[in-house]
Parts: sequence; C-alpha cells; structure tokens
Amino acid sequence: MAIIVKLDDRLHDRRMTLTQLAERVDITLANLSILKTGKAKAIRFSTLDAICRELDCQPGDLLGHERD
Amino acid sequence: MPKFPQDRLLFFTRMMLTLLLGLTIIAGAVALLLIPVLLVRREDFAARLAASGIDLAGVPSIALLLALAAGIAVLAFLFLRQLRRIVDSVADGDPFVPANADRLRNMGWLAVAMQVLLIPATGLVIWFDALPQKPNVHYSDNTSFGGLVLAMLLFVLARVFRVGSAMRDELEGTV
Repeated sequence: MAIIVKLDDRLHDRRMTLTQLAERVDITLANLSILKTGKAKAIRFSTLDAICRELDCQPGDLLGHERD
Repeated sequence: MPKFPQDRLLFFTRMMLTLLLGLTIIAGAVALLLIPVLLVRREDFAARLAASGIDLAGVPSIALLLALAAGIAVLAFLFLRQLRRIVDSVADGDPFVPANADRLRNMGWLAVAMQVLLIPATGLVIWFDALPQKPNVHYSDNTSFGGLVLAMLLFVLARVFRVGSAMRDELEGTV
C-alpha cells in the first residue's frame, strides 16, 4: 500500500512499547500490531485521535505516502 | 466469531436438510432405475396400457417423465447441498463470505433449471390427466411463479451476501 505507518518511529521517540500504547489508548495489541505493520486497510478517526493524544503528535507524524 | 453448536433451529435445519438430501437421492435413483425396467418390459407395459385404453405412446412418455423426475431430483439434491453448506457456515459463525454469495447464485440457477424441467413434466402430467382412461399419475399444478420468484430472491440475496462479505472484509481491516 502507498500509505506508510510511522508508528514505530514515534514509539521510539517517546520510549514507549506497543503494549504500553495499547493499554493507554484502549485498543487491542493485535489491532495496533496490524496498524504498525501496515496491514490495516483503514484507520478510524477515534483511533488516530487516541494515538496522537498519547504520543503527542499530529496525524501527519504517524502517516506518510509513498509513490508505488 | 461466535459458534452456534447448541442452536436448536440450526440443528433442526441441518437434520431436515440431511433427511431431504437422502430423499432426493432415493427419488432420483428410483426414477432412474425404473426407466430401463420400463423400456425392457415395454411390451408388457404397452399391453397393460392398451388394455386401459392408452396408446403405445404412453410408455416412452412415462419413461420421459421418469427421466425428468430424475433430473429434477438431481437438481434438488445440488440445491439442498448448497443450502446445507450455507447453514454449516452459519453454524461456524462465519456466513458473510464470498463462497456463500456463489452458493446462493448457484441455487438461483438451479431453481431456474428446476422450473425449466417442470414445464415438460407438467405438460406430460396434464396430457396423462386428459386421457380418457387415466394412468395412475397424480397431477398437481406446478405451473406457478413461485419457483421463478425464489430464483430471483436467491440472485438478489447472492448480491446482498457479496456486498456484505466485502463490507465485513473492509471492517476487519479497520483499526
């Protein structure tokens, strides 16, 4: 997919694990893992909102676009 | 996905479908076995029919009716088998899959095919019924639009399932 997820970078910057983020945003670890590995087909605004709030970032910091 | 092994309705439906599948096999086999018997003992049957006031065309007509009955039994078996697989997928808790859309579409075409076979079969039965000395064939009016309405309903349901399975697929990939 042309959309890339940069969750790993933000987690690294915040010194946070995926498990910790899952607990804080109340999303299952499995779903966050799907998002992190770029296997998700769509992301809800509510999910994006929760992640941005916890990682103190903008949606653009988490998502990027790559030409195929 | 939840499973419904204890669902009584599903259990009953599966049992009924299994029973009906068995009945279609028996009905089809009996009809098919009677055709060679009828043709081999053609003279006997013709004589008996003639004694009842029915001409020689009666034997091939009955053979044709049996062949049509066997064909309808085969189609009914295939129809019920598809339905059984759909019910199984419901019991497994995962009915919104593209395979079920294909099954419903196949069932629609099988319903159409059964209606097509019913036209000559009904014609033959009406002809038997009009004979002065009626052979022992029970006539029932099958020339209704129920079968065609069923086929149309199945085609529409197939579309519904295809869209439903695509939506579920989309939802599963949503985080």
